[in-house]
Amino acid sequence: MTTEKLNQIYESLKLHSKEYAIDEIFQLFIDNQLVVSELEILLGKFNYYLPDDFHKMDKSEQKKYHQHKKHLIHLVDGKETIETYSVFNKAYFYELVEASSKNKSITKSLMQYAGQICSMPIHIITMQHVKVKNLDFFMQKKDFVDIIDNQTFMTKKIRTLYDLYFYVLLSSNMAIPKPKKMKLMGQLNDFFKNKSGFDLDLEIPFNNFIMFIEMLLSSLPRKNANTIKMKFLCYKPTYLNDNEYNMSLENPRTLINKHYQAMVQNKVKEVVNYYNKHQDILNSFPYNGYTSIYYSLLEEVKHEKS
Amino acid sequence: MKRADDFYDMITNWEQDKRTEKEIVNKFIELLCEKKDDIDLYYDINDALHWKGYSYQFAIPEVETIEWDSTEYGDLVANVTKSKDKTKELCIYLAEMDNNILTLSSLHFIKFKHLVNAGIFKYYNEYKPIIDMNLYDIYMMCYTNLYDDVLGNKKFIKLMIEKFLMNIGMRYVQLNYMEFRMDMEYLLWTITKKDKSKDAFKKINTIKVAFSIADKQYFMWNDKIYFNEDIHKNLVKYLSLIDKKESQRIYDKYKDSIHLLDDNGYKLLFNML
Repeated sequence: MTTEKLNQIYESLKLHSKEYAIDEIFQLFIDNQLVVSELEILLGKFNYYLPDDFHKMDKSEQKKYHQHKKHLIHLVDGKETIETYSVFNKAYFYELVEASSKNKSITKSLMQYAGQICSMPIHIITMQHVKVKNLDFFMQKKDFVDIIDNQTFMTKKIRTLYDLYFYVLLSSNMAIPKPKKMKLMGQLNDFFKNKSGFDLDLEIPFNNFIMFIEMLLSSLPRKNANTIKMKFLCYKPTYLNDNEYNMSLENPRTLINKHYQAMVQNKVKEVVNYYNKHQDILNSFPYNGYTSIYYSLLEEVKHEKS
Repeated sequence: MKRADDFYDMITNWEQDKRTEKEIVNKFIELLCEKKDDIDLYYDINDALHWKGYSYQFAIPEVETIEWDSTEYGDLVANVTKSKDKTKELCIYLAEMDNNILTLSSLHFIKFKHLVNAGIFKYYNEYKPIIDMNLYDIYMMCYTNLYDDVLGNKKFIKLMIEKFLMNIGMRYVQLNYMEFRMDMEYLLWTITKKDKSKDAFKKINTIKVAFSIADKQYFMWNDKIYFNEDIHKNLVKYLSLIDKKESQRIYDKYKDSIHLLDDNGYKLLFNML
């Protein structure tokens, strides 16, 4: 492609958002209209840089690199309908995470992307990256501003949506009186479900169960919690960066044994009662590693009692 | 696989002609409209598109499936191990159901001798040690060296059984990804070597339900439940019955490649070893 043609493409894209432009440029590459060097030139004009190992990737991996939408074609009686849906793409997700750090609009895009993927693990990881200070919903409410400015969660300042949610959920009645806590939790749940594009309904039993296990995991340092989730296949390997979990060959059950005290603390009764109340639906959940984490915890409770 | 390879090559040519992703997909739409009854064509095209890194896939047209009827199944398996004719009936039923999980769960009902008597397998003298065994036990023995003295020509027996399984609902048993699953199935089977009780299979079934390897409905018929519903109380105990040495062997076999395999219950079980 000539330099002139590349410039024409740049001119046609520069008035759009960076997100849109990057998507379009990658599509041109997927469409076999650009070679890698031309892709790099165009992306560079938007301050987007490919990783060093991009050149070493297989052509198909290069095409998938930024792919965050898939298309399913239904052919019925010779007529096609195309269903387009979002999929988790690590490069795209973490680009959004980095760009959203001080940007409210991209924070919104990040949450909407997570909402479109519709996967609890992605919801959790997104919550751990979304900065509450970019969310007007909370920053315009005095109760939340007081918490965000003055409180800590797990010895660190409340910075993310995850920090905020579990701080409120786990606060003692002394820290947040029960009526106020219920109001704040209601507002948080409303935000997740209706006000953010996050599309997370915590009244759905499966989602509620995942958050219950996350509540127990939230008492661990992030890396330890991530390691447990990776070992129990709650997360796919592509969801996290390598430095966010420990790749050791430790047996998952050994991990639970090691972290049991920190996870369960003074919540043993709650852990057991959850099973007594929800036994029927626990076994009906689709395949997920969180159920295995839970059963392993119950085993530890049993050993402790015996 | 050959047709998928051909489609891959076709796409390569179109790429050299600078065809766009959608233009390439449209060419396949034309092909599928011409040959709409060829369901395998969808799989081959999807494979080629996936290998090339494109974001389009074709939805596989739904094939009418027969619904599982536990009463019918219960009647079929009652006393089946005593009868050549009932064994044949069960095999026909499994072929109609075309259900991988159901067939695998039913293999212990199929006696090798009935298949020989029905003319499905030829008899050779070397089959004497296994003639009274069920197909599940024989097939699992093929996944280890520990029973080579019993099996004789293990490779031949394995191929023979797999060819048969492909006709009774396990169509993809010889594909690469099934080797891992059957290795994990073998590990579960080792529980029966340690636990000689009648309900050893119940323990295996419990593990399968816990890890969503098989739906619990396949272990409920004749008003009986063939797994332990108290899963959380017993899961760790049952897992400890898996042969440790064989567990290490299988673990070493897959530890460097496990991340490449699809997420499923067998993979979760592997991670728990």
